[in-house]
Amino acid sequence: MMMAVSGSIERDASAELASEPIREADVDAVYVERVQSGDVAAFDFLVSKYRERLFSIVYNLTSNREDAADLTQESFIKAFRSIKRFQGKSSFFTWLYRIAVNTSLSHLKRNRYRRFFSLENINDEASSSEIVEALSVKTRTEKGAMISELQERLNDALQKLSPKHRTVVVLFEIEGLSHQEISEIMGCSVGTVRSRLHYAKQQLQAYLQDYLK
Amino acid sequence: MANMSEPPVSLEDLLKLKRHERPQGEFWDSFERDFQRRRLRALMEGGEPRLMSAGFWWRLVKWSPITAGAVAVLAVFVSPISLSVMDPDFEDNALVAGMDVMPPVAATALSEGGAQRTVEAQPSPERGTPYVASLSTPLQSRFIRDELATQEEPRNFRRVLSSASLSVPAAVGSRYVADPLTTGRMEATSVVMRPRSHF
Repeated sequence: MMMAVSGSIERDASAELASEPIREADVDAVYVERVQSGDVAAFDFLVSKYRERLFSIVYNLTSNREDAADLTQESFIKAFRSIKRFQGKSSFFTWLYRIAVNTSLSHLKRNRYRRFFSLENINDEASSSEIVEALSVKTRTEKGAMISELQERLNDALQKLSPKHRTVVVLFEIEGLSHQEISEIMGCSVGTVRSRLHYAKQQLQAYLQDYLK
Repeated sequence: MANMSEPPVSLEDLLKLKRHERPQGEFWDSFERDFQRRRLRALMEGGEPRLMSAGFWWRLVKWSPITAGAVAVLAVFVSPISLSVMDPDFEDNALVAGMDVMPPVAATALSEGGAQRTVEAQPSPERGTPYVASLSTPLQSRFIRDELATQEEPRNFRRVLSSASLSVPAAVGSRYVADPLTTGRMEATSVVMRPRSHF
């Protein structure tokens, strides 16, 4: 069985489901309008909907669960404070993700000499995944130990990338966003996103080659 | 290390494992509590005054560093920005906001049947919470605990809001949060608190 799944195949499949995000955006727009007209509680819906995705982005950028919680909240507060100025030129989630990414990048810049990592546990679902099974057989290591080691190596590899390259990898490979969405979030061209992704993946291939051979 | 019969593992596969690093349920409970607290504070503080915006400072520094320094010093001494503080004396899930109220004490406006009058501070018989009021919002009809607390000096009022008061329908970005509340002790039917300027 071929285990490698191409990111582009997934992206093609998600393109076929393009109507789904549109409906989601419409739902968001309704709630955004309600918040803009003073319904504070409507913001709770948006927080519940996006908090895990936003946390995941910030967490994978910072590799620190406490910082990630703090920065995710800060991002929501920033969004809440400035939602009146949101005009709907982009989708709400793009706007929200942009706030979270900028907040995280500023944090990383401020604390570039003071970094502490605190990682979440990888959940049980991952332990039974085919990749973990295969790697465990390949490295002749017990699964639990292999997962911990792999988690550390993945984290090290991501942290060796510059924050902007890391952001592109996180948004594309981990969060599954499209090049176009990432370009809107990061305020750069699609070409820049592609080239950053290409460079970042080359770097990661080199750092993680032991697992990829 | 690998032999030909083993399936290849791609970089994308490895990175997807990061999706499994997710916090557990209790993390989100704490996240929710902290967020509500921070949002309440944001609501009470309202919009950032233009004077304190980053854009303003940037333009000012570009214009004249000396003037910027002078304005910064003035802002520190004059601006009543530090409105919200967490007070460990109060219960964990309460936000305490307050600052010394300038005499005359009660800058809170009190409305009775549409008429407005100034509330005079009542000396507190003891330190603590002499004015305890129940607050319900017209839209959600939710019951909220609301206290006016005095310290030794009756003029120094603080207000304690439970996080449930987030249901108060306040216009986002508005400078003031109007909280109608009822208190028998003050013989008032409703009081409008204006956190930033009159708290």
